[in-house]
Amino acid sequence: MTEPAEISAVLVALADQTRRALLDVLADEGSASATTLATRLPVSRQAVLKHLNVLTEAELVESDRIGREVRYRVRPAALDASARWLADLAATWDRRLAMLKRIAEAAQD
Amino acid sequence: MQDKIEREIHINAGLGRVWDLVSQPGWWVGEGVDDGVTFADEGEFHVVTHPKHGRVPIKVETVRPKSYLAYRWASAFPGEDPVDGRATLVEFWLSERDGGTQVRVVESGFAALATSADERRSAFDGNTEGWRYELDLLHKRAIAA
Repeated sequence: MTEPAEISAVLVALADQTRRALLDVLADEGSASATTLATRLPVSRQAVLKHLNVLTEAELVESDRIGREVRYRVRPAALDASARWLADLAATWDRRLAMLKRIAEAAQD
Repeated sequence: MQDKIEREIHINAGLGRVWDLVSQPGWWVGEGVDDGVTFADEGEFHVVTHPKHGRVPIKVETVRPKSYLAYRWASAFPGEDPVDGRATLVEFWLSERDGGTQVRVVESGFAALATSADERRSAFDGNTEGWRYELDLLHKRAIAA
């Protein structure tokens, strides 16, 4: 089961525009180094590394060292888990609202 | 990226009737009538006690009669008080529509839940279903890449 803290980490990570842009670029490229990412976005390599750390903590990206280069890529699992968790919650509210409707409408008859 | 859930329903009942139901803090905790749920006022919190879910404290944030309600609860942390790092905000909007009542609910604040490892708790039980927020799009792009 996915825990709320993990979902929260994902949502916090995705709340930042630069980090979303980083994920977009990584999704397009398949994988990329921080240096490459910095050329694609209007931020410094230092800033890119900082954001990649947040994304790594949230398990949204992973990295491999290839020679002298560290290459990052998207990990879909955490996104998937967050999406399922939120979907579950949306379905729960649908059930609650349906219950409200049932009770409110029954009371009138 | 929004950390919220938004749902809506139309009810064939008058606004006053629906308001009476929705203005009971924690009305959504139970599964309907005669399910053994009790409500109690414990000072700062209204406490719903459910045979299965146990004690569910709820804080009333805002009440605008017959139009808007805001509650705070620790939905992801069963049994705990709705304090910072634990609580999400649940808002209800009611309006008259087509001879009945439209109810909109928004639950928000998931990104503000405490994230430190020692504060992790297991949350919602239940099955998983589809979701249609940006997460899905991003996910699709990620796996398509």
